[in-house]
Amino acid sequence: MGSPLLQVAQKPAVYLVVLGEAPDWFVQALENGLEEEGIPCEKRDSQENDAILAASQAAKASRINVGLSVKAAAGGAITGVVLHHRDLPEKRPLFHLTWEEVSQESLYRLGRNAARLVKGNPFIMDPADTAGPCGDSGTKDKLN
Amino acid sequence: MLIAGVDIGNNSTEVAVARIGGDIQFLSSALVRTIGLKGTLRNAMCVIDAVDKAMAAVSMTRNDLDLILLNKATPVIGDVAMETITETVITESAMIGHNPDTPGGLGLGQGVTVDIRDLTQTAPGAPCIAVIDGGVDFTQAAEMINAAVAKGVKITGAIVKKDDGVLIYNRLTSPIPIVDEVQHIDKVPLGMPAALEVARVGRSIEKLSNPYDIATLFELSPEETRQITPIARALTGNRSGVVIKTPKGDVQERRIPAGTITLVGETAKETVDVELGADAIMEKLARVAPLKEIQSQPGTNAHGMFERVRTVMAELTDQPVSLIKIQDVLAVNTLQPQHVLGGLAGEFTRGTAVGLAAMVMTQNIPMQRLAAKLKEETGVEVEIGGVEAEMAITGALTTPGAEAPLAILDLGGGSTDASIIHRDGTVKSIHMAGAGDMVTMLINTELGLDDPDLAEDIKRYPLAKVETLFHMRHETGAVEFFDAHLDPSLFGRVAILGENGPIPIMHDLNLNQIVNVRRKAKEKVFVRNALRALEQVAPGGNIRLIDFVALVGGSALDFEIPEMIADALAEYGPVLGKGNIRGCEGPRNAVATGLCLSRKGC
Repeated sequence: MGSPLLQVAQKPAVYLVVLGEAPDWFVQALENGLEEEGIPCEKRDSQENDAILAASQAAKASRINVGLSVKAAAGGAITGVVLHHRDLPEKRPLFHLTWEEVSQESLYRLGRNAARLVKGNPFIMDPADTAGPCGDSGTKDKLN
Repeated sequence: MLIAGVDIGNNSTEVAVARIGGDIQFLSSALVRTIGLKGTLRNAMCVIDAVDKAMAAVSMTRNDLDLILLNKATPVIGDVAMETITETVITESAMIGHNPDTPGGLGLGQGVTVDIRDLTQTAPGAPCIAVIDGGVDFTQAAEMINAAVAKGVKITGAIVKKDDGVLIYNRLTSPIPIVDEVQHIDKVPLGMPAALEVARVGRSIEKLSNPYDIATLFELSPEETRQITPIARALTGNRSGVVIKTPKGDVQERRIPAGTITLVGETAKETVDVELGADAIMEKLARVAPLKEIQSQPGTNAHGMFERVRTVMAELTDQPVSLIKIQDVLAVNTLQPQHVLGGLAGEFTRGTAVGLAAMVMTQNIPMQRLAAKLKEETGVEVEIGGVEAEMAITGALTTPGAEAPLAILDLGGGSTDASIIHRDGTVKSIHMAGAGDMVTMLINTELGLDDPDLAEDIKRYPLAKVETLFHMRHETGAVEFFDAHLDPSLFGRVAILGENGPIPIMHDLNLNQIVNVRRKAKEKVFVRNALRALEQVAPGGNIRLIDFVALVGGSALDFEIPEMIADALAEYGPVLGKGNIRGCEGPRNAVATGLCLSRKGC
């Protein structure tokens, strides 16, 4: 039904992959960040076990080239939240929040920054971290 | 004989090293930043530094020198000041005029401000605007508003502290405009009539930026409408805004007279009201030229401005304030962000101001003392060479393709100087107030940066907008791609393309705004001064009679100033370009080169 093109075309959205059993509140915080910026978000399944690779694959699958992944260990402890872009090398995400950096605020901010990456707006800085963008102090170390 | 010509300028110190005998052979040159006010003992450090640098370049030391020649520094110092001339008005209303990225909803809401917790107790039917502080999250806020609406309360808008206006809006049963990111929500007075407006994406508010619409909404008298005008102006161009009418009694209006200044020339005297603006001042100035002194009316803004300049000069030159006579001024019209009293998020409106560069002739610059000190420190003979303007011309004449009669425009940091050499070798020169430092000041104030270093960088380098992680669009429109992704702090921002890579501008300014202010500032100072200066040295005051003009000095290296001056002078017809001293130095090193040349044949 419909033209083949229409069947292939997906809704433009940032894809969000949840690995393991992440508590609802932090997936919600990411989604809220995207919603405030007016960019749709869609949850996707993945067979991948690595959070960074999962985010990279999500970004490549997304029509707007941005992917998020959340990995939680058994019991719901978060082990990493990743923001990735299609054009970045697979193993080098833009932002990578570690367990210690995760909070309601940093997740909300990461969600907004995912949306802002789509829109081309400057990232929101972590007010506590004037040196770097977003709640990702130490991102540069992880990038290089 | 090996000599070093040294030119101590306001901002940079330049050296040329030459071997002279029957002929002259230039060996090297160097440039360092001037330390201390030019002509003072503190210069010794940078002079030695520059000489060492030049000598090291040809594998020699200063001990090999036979003579150091200093320029006879023109005793001219410039300073800049800025004064708002529009009245300072304190309004009786509070306003929120910041520009949140993502306000919620659309349209205009009007009502009385009510804390969100008190909404359900509000009488049904009377319009109100919900004030939502940080203690209520968006889910709760939406539920509370929905509950109140269900009870019949008429809610027309919301003011939110946190940045979740869209989230609240998406959860409402009946849509209202929402202004969020209001940091000082605690300062929003409750129980006061207010109006709130959110424009659609890509548009700016229409009602609250129009004083008459505000007057209509709040039923203001003509007098009150006049007082609300700064608020309307401050809100202009924003996507959202709030105006809150606070009770009478807070009303206070203050006027600071801009004042008058009296320009005293050699033969004439003119008084001008600063409120008339820069053009009026410059026109009167031309009438009384040459200027001998400026007097101002005590107790006014203008007086404060001149006194500041005089005090700075007095301190720098170690002379009593009473001896400081202002010999030239360049006044320019500018806009200065003025704090809006009653603003709840640090709002500013742009008030007209006059920016002023003043030039002072100092009584005596202790060059002899500096020469003695240099001799003592280096063990090399030190002499004070010829007149700066003549040296500059001699140096500039080494530019391939230039010949007398030649005019030079020396675009420096503190002053703009012009000199002309006629066929018979006579030289006429003039010093004008206002140069690079003033441009920096104008950029700093007009953009409201409050950061002179950033303003300096904006002046010196072109800009680009970082559009994706991998490419930026230069201000010329050209696109540059990068292999590795750019620093995330640059993403989506305007960046200054400095020598050490792009620097993001964190202020909320767009590229065109910055480029406009930068170019206007350069035009107001350099183009104006170029014309003013050339008119004064040209035969019969007619620029058309000048055939060759060479630009020299630090600001001649600017990436757009030479082009702007060339455009302005095109109609007068002279050959204009950046000098190229000795065919290799570009517009730099003219005076130092001239000093060496003056000893040719010795």
